[in-house]
Amino acid sequence: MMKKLDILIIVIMLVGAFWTFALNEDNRRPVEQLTPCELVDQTQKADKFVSTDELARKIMSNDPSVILIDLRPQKEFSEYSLPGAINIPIENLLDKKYVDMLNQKTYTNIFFSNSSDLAAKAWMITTRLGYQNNFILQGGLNYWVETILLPKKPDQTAVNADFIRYNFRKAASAYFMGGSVDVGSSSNSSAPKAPIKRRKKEAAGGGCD
Amino acid sequence: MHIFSENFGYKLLKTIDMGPFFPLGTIGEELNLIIGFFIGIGFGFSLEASGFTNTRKLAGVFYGYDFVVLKVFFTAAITAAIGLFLLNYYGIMDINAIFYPKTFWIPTLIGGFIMAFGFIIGGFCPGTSVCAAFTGKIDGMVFVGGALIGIVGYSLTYEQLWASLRMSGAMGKVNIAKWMGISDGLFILILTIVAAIAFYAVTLIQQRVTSKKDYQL
Repeated sequence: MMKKLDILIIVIMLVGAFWTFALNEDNRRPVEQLTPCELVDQTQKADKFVSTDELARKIMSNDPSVILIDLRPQKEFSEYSLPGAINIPIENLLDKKYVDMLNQKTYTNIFFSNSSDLAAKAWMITTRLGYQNNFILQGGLNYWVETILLPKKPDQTAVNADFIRYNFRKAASAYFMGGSVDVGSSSNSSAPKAPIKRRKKEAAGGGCD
Repeated sequence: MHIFSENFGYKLLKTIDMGPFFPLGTIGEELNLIIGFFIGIGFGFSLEASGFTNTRKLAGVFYGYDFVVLKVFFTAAITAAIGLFLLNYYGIMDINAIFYPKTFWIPTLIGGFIMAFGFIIGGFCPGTSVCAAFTGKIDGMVFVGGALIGIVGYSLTYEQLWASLRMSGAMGKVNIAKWMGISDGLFILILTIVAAIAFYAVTLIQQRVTSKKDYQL
């Protein structure tokens, strides 16, 4: 006859084995909340980008719902960044302390780095995790400097809209650089105050269903 | 340009899973070694306490009068398998971050035979031989010495003699369940049933062997 201890051990192991067998591994919560198909749908939507002009307006109007997230390393962040930005180096993006900031429905997070590369990666990762309200600064800091801080005067033959935008950028440049500048003809001076139109979110219209 | 550090994937999982501690960087290398040291002491203590430093106990599996070794190894493997499976399933530990080596079936098979012969002839496995040596058993010390000579000899002649054999029969990083195309849970269940049958079978064998008149330890 088998020893009682042997029988007990076998019974315990069998209980455990049936337990593991009964669990369906597919039911395990995956890391990514979005399926690849849903991600493609999200990627195709244009409203993941925030233009530099739009961002300048938000900052100048002290929009309290905007959180600027600088994804570059600490060193570059300390040298220069956007006003009010916080630094989350991309390697630390998924640290637990940032989860509440990234996964929320109240604020608008805008990712940026020198170009759009890191921001696009951060957007991809957070979107795949099912986080909402994360956006990419189009063109990154380089484009920010090019368009907002050092705007180029349009040609004389350019359409009026270009001049309006230029004047706004001159004003924004003065705002951010701290200098005084002639904003230009008074007829255009109301342009910077234009309310920000939020694009309506469309339902994902993919062909994956 | 490498944006992500090499363990970025692990960090991704870190938001979900808690372990394993060392691969995920929760604990450093020093603490890892210290914990390993104490687990090692516990392991050696258990081997000694359960009589595994006695060559007769280990050789008994092959002669059919003592199957404790077989039972212990089966129980340990199944306990670990069930434990890992459940920890992984309930999101406490990420099984993908655990190291296990790639499989090369030809050298593994040959090595298995060598190990088995060493087991029968010497009555130790590498772990128990060290325990035996440190509890003062001279055969254990000789066994450890032989193992060291083998290790050094293998290392010195690796390039010339063993390199091609070592790399033959590569199967990549596989586990048996995936290789057989069944789920991990089903494999654990099958293994446990096999263990239960083995436990019963060895009990019968042991009774038959030990009831013989000419049996002696």
